[in-house]
Amino acid sequence: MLTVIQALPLIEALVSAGIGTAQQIAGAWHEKNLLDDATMNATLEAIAKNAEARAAQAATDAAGE
Amino acid sequence: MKTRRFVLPILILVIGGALVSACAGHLSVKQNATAALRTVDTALSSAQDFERANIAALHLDTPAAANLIALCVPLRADGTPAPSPTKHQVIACLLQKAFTDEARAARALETYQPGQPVPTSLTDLQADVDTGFAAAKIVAPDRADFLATVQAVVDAVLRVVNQIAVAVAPAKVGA
Repeated sequence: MLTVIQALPLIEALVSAGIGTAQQIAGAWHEKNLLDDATMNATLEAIAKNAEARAAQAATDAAGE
Repeated sequence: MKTRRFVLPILILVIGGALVSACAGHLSVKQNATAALRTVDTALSSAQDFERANIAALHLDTPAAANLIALCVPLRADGTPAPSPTKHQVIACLLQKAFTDEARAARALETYQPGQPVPTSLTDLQADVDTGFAAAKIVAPDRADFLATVQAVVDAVLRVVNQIAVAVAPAKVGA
């Protein structure tokens, strides 16, 4: 039966591996979202263009002409 | 066996902590705000379509015209105030402001950085739609369908503002 003190090196190694894995996962997540950032900006640009077209329609309606 | 009891919770804490930290980044705020703004765009466009198809055609009398014009003064193409504007023209005036600020908000979100305050374009949009709801109640107080359409816009804008305000709490308003 291992005591906690005897197991410390093993715990240290496992925690270290755990941190490495977490960093890899976080890195991959960040990279994916950098790509998503471009997609988001394209979406936002499409929203802006639709809103501008709608504003122009509303301006025509408001002028009553 | 005892070792496993210690190691597993520690590993879960380390990996979980790193993932939570990563997911709390600004991109998730921007993603949520973008999705919410898309809902605003759909809701506001629906409100405009509904007004043009159903409310404008009613040609209601304008006993509250003065109150409405105080909310927004419709302009002719030459930039001068439209004479004796109808309710439809005032609502269109409000929609013009809301869509203009929505476009500004979309462009502000494109360059949004972590920790920045809520863009003023978004708070302007929020004021626009609140005024729009007040106007809708004057124009068509008995049209629950129209009021529900405008209320949906108000709720959608609030969700966008909250996406950022909560992330940078205490809520700040900036340029």
